[in-house]
Amino acid sequence: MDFSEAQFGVNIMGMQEYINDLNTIILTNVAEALRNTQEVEAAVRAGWHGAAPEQFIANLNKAKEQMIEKLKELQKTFETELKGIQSSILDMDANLVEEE
Amino acid sequence: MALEKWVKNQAGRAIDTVQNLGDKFSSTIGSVQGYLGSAFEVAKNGETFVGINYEKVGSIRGAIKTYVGNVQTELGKLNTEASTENAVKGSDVTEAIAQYVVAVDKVAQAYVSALLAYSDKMYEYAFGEDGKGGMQQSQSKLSENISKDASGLSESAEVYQEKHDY
Repeated sequence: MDFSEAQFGVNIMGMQEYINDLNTIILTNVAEALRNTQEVEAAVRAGWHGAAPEQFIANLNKAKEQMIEKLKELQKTFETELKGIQSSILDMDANLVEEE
Repeated sequence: MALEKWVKNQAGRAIDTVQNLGDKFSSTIGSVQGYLGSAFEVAKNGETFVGINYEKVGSIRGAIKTYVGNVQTELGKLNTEASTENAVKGSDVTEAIAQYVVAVDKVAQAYVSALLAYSDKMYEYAFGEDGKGGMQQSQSKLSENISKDASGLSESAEVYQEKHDY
């Protein structure tokens, strides 16, 4: 039977693919989009003079790095827990044979 | 019956694991919202938007809007390009996993909302809340409002909606 027909269980390859997809989206694509503030910085510097715009840019850069770190943190925690769930379900699968 | 009970217990453990993760996520979301509450208060001493050229406010806001849109586009892929369909089965488990994806989204949306709220205050500084006059609010009030607007929306997990088109 194909995994798609199961009601409860885990697919090792499917789980790894899911984790890889999340890593690509969050750690690469979203992080890259967050880091890409050049256009904002250029617009700010073109229309705003003095210390305030530089402070805004500094805050923006600090905030975006903070967000990326938090997203990484969440992603790593999530990945660890997903693998824990996977192990738990696989153990259940293996132990069922023994129990019966 | 004993086997059925055993299976339910094992499945329950997996769900508990996921729920514990939810608590960890809530903690991170809380810390992010607290941080963003003050991150975009450029100055508390009355210099928030000093030195800005009103004619350039539209292009600055446009750049912020484009930036925010790019981040949201990538975030949207969490729902369209990452599927648990071939990874794990079990309604409670998959539902819980979906909640964590939403939690990640909340962190990013809190950031986006803080920026959009800041952008609106920039507009209001230059043109007034009704678009007919600028610099009507005191700087301290502007600073306070940015924080209040953004954090309030973050708590409700909704993305801040810009008030002004310009």
